[in-house]
Amino acid sequence: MRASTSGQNVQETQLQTRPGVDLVLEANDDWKIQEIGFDGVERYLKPESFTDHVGTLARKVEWTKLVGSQSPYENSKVDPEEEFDDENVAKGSQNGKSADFVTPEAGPWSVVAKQLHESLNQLNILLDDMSVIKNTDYMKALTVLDPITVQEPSMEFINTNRGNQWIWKRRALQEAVQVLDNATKQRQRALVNLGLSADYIAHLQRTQFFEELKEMREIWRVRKTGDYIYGDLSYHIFGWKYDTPNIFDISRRSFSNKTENSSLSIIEVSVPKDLAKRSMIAVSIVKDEMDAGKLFRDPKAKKYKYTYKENDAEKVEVLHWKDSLKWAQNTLLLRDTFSNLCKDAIKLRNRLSIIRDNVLLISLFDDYLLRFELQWFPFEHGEIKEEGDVYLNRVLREMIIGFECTKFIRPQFFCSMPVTHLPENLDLRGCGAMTSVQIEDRSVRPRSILERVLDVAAHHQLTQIVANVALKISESIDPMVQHRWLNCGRNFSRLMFNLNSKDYESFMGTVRSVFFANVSSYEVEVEAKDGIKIKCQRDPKRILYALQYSVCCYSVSMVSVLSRNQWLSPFQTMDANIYALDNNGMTAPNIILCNQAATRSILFIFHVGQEPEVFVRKFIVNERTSKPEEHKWRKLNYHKLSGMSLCKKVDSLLSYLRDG
Amino acid sequence: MENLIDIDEEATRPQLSINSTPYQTQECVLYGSIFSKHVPDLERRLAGLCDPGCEEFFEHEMSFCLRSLASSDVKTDIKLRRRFRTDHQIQNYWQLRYIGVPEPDQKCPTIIRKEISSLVHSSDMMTYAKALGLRMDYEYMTQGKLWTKGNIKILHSSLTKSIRPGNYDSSSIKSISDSSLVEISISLPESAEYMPAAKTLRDFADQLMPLCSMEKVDYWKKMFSTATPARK
Repeated sequence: MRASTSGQNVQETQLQTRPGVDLVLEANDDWKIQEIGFDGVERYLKPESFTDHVGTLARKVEWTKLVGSQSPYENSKVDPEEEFDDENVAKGSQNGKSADFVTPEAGPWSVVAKQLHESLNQLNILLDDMSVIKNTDYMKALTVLDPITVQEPSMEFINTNRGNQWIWKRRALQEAVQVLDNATKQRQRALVNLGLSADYIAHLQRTQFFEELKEMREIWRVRKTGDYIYGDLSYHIFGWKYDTPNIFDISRRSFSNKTENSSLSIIEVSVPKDLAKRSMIAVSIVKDEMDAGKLFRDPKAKKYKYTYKENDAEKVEVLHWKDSLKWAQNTLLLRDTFSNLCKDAIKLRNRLSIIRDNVLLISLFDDYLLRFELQWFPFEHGEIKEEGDVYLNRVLREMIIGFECTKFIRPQFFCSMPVTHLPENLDLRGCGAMTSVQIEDRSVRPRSILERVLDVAAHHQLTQIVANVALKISESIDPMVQHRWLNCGRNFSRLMFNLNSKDYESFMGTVRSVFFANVSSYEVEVEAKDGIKIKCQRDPKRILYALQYSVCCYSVSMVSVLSRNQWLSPFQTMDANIYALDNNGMTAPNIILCNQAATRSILFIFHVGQEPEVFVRKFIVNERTSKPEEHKWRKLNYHKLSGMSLCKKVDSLLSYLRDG
Repeated sequence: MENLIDIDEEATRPQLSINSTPYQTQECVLYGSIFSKHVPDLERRLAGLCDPGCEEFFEHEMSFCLRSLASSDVKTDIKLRRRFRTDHQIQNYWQLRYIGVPEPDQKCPTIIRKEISSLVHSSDMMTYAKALGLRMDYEYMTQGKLWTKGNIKILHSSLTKSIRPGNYDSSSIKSISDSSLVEISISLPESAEYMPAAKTLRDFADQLMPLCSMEKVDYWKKMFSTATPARK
């Protein structure tokens, strides 16, 4: 240092512009290998220490340039002023006048020293920092292996800490404020842009989407897994849901044009392609005859045979989800129902059935067939004309829904007992217990929908037959027949017939003027009021015959009542037989009367379904002495008897023959 | 139609006897527990998953065992249940239930065990139990709800015990813990293949996952270490 004091001024000016020594903290370089000995020992080149480094740097300085070539290297020409300066400095420091004593200002290295000092200071600070870091627990760096134990503040602490609560509240408020701000901003912008800003539209669409989703959730089962929102089309109330083939996807419709018609729903659903059609099951009763028309479908006809094609995709897309989901579920329901009906039809081995082209024909009774047809229509708006018998369609529908709504499984008396299918009334335990044989005898066996529909259809058909017959018999005015449905059920109906003779109502007090027709699913029977039943099976002719026979019985009793008329001299009833047969062996109730004077006997024969025959002869006093030619029955012409009705005719005939 | 012989009559008969509860069954069970305060969440979840409607129950269960003098370690567990509900003439009904040792099937995701239960109507059941040589191990009361989904049965119940044994009024009943017991089970006929049913049960149980984890608990491992106080 001393060596260069002579050129200090020049050096100072030069060095002030120079930056200090760059200090870089970095990892030590690996020691370089100088040589590897023959014994395999590596000898390292010792890296330069800081002083060495400074030395090399110092060596690089070209002193001649800095000082000038003339200046001698030796300290021969010592400037006294400079010495004095040095002394001054020394003195000043000794006097404590200058606080900057520590910082050496003299000499060509003073700047370097200053920089060095500063650098060392920085190093010290760094060292301090590191020691603080090292000694303080919470600032310790963790290694990967260290277990992280986060101390949760206890609940009490959180509760008591009012500051936390304030922070939470403020945060919640801020969030709310943000949402509100956003809304007002959007609204203002919308107002400015007449409601057409892109942001606003997007915002609107988002809100609309969620609102519609909410609406959809009220009717449909909707679920989200990952990023997918999907719904369930299956109609089962009990058991497993979300069956894969019956799932529809929900997505948001992206409107390419913002001003597009808003009638489209923002929610777009994609129903399974095989369900993308509308369907209907038409149930009808057909007669198996030559002229019954086509019982099966024409295989070439396209009607009811719609299937989804790719080119319909656009049409399907624009449908509102409310419609498309409803239709698709209906299709699923009817498809399942039809296949179940077919399965049941195959199981019913005592009924013939044929299945072809979505048409199921199954024998109902005699030559009537029940026909189920599954019809498919395009997946679009429009009225579908209901075919088949409306009543039966509805009954089938109701049965399907009823089946779906029935819970067949029931927990038992104690919750730990297994679930059971038995109804509660058969699940008697303890002293009232039943044996399994009793249980099986008493339990109502579940009947398939098909069987029940068959019963209902058969009953429906029989009631129609009976109604037709009843209409026919009601045409007669003598006696007047009125009919009335007493009871109309699914499987049993009862029809009441009321007979009435005009103008002679006063005589009818004791006469049985009422009879019934009971219609079940299997047969029709005509029941008199005294409980005698006439089975008619399912034959309309026999029903008509039974009804007419009942009318004849009524006529017999009517005649006998009239004959006992108190104002006229009463006739005696000699004989009355409602089970009598005529010459052809057909039932023909008859009655024989005799007048008070025992001179005439009158015979009425009521042929079923025909006009009554009236015969008159002289009364046989003594059967042994009487001659058959004198006592011949003489037939009277029924039409020529005076009066319009039977009662009137009988009345006038009796009054004529009273004394004769 | 009445004159025709219904051949199908025969076919429905065996099905019905399956439906009617057989005497001996095997059941697949999974157990789990949930804090009582979270039970409403579980109920909401179950309402979404299960068949509509649930049944409440309040039952008293006593566990008995039969010990022979020679080998005191081997014992037969018999559970006796009665119901605390007297609204429709169901007093004095008892369920006597034997629960077998679980099958040692490692692959099966649920506990499989044989179960025999019979319902008894008796006014002095305890005398009968005593006469059989049964001794009571422990007793508790369960109160909860029963849900079904198909033939899966889901029970969740809170367990309580009586401070004074023999008194079961509301004043002496104390809750055992603040958790509720959840039990999911399927009953199968005795010799039926249980694997498919066990898998469906497991699938169903996994749907309760974030609320309640249903496990195949190895409860029988602790079976011999508990309930020693009854022995004298």
